[in-house]
Amino acid sequence: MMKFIAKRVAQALIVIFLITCITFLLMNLVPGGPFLSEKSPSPQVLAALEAKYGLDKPVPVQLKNYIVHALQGDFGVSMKMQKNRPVGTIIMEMFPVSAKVGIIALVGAVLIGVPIGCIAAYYRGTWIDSALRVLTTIGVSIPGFVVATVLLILLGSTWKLLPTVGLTSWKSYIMPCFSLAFYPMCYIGRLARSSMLDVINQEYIRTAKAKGVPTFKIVFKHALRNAFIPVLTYLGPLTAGILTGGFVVETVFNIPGLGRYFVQSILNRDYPIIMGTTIFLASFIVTMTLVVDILYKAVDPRIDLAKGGSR
Amino acid sequence: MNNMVNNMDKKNQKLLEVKDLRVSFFTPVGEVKAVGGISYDLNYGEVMGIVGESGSGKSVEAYAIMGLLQSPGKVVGGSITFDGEDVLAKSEKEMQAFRGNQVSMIFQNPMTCLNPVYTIGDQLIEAIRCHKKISKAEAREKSIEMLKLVGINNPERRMNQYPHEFSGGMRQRVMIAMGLICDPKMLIADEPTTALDVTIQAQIIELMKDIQQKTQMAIIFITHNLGVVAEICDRVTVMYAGKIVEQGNVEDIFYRPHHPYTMGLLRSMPRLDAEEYERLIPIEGTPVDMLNPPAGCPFGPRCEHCMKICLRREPPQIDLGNGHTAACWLLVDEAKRLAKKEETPNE
Ligand SMILES: Nc1ncnc2c1ncn2[C@@H]1O[C@H](COP(=O)(O)OP(=O)(O)OP(=O)(O)O)[C@@H](O)[C@H]1O
Ligand code: SF4
Ligand SMILES: [Mg+2]
Repeated sequence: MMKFIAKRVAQALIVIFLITCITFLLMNLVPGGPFLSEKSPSPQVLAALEAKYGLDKPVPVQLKNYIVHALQGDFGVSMKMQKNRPVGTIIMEMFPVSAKVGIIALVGAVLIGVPIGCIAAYYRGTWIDSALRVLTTIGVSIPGFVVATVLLILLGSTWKLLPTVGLTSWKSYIMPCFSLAFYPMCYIGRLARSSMLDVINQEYIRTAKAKGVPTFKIVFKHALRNAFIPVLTYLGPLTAGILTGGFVVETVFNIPGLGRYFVQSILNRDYPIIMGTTIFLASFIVTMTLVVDILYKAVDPRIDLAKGGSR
Repeated sequence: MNNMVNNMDKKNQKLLEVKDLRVSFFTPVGEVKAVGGISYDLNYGEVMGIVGESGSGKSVEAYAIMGLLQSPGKVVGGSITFDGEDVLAKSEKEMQAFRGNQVSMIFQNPMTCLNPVYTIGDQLIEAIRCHKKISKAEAREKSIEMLKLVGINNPERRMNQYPHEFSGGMRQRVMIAMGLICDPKMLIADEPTTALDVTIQAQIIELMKDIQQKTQMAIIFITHNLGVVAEICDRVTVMYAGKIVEQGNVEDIFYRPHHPYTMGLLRSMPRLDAEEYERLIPIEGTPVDMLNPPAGCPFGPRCEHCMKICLRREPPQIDLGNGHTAACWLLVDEAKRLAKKEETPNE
């Protein structure tokens, strides 16, 4: 177990290092720079600014400097958006807002998606199954930003039922969380349905019936835990999806989270913020994937983590 | 084994009575009469083999007794009486109390019959606590005792292991332990050794024989393997296309078979006393298409003795004495000779 974790952490560090290098290089390839907005400063001021932040050096040297500092825990300061505040502080301020919305969406997607799948499987072939299939098909075919926009227009502006901007009360969480959760909820619903149907026809379910196990126990003890395994595999990609979905949803609903900030930092070419956020999000996703793999082991004893995790 | 005394006492009394049982599957392309009216009795402590080729309805018939038929399968006629109770009239709740407690069933493929995400101990304990109101600790004790009985070493440690940590033979032993744990009056074993390799097969058969002798429990033993039947069964029922074609004591079936299908089965089976040069002769032709069964005798299209009447009318069950019956037109004259009152068909 410890060996497995150590191996995965080592892999993760390599991945993060590569992401750092690639992002850094791409960022420098994109035309423009932090100090080249509409009212460009004079050449002298520009040169002074670039020298201050080390942007005058060749890109590989900049990258080397960045990595050396980052390894010491110094991710630089914002060049533009919150001038001279450390990137770490800014991320730690913004991330909890995103995390709160993201966790509500994630938990909601699982807690509603799995029962939807079970109900559809239980009533397979009936109108309930068909209705849920229509719903989940819609859910997996329209992108999150469309859901967000439609909600915003209908509930926010036409009927004025829910606040449209920021996170002021619990009501303001409804639309962003739903926009984020709708796709994964429907996806999990479909996954859980097919997985449940598969499990229900397994021979160990027949064995349980032959032992005289009551029906509800067959469903909730014997079937559900097995049916949940494919859903668990989806939790890693789901976390990543909710994070990236957050970029759009936070922008649409004007939520002061890390996602929206990340988008703005790119538009503003605030290099240290772009780099800091990228590294942070990459580490977060890598960690979540590892957590999901360890969760597997808890649910499915056949998985031997030492032999590479998933089945 | 508190049932044991019971089983001994009631020896030669009827435990199970199946009468004209019919099971059909209502598929989109039509009704499949998987079991087409079969009747037999089983006494306390008796071991009956059911043989017949794939698709002859052996499993379906067993599922009907257990109330485990899956839609679109349905019992469409006949009756099943177990220990004086009408099984088909039981509600789902009553069936839950019946399964695993009065009758247990073990299956062909031990590799897929245990739930992979729960320990063996958990699954054994569950089997007891479904039926008996005893504490977890007592149930655990009993489970360990059962594992010992079926020959699993180190049962205390094995209780905490998962199915994937057991070999196929070991899993089948666990299945047997699970089937016996509530001391049922009857066990249905549906090809319990087919999926295992030969040496393991022999061990499992030995184990079942041993347990049967200890508990005097009735067993229905479903198999393709006539050798196994000879080894542990008292009686044999031969099924073909959802019908019973011949039934009788092991000796009668093996040494005095009367139905051409039974004879074919015996010829196709390797025997220890066979001469070196004696060939194994497979039964010609393909099994019946159950969607469009032939009129008359189901075995007709493959039978070397097939007569005109065979293709038009179904042969009656002919009583050959000593509980030996067979359904074949060839026997009608012989039956007349034997019983002197069997109605001759007006050919
Ligand atoms: N779910 C089903 N739908 C339709 N027909 C079925 C279904 N299950 C079984 N049958 C029919 O019932 C017949 C008997 O099947 P059964 O499983 O009892 O055969 P078996 O004698 O146990 O064969 P095997 O030796 O292969 O286990 C089959 O020929 C098949 O046509
Ligand atoms: S009834 Fe006719 S076809 Fe059927 S087994 Fe007997 S001889 Fe063969
Ligand atoms: Mg079968």
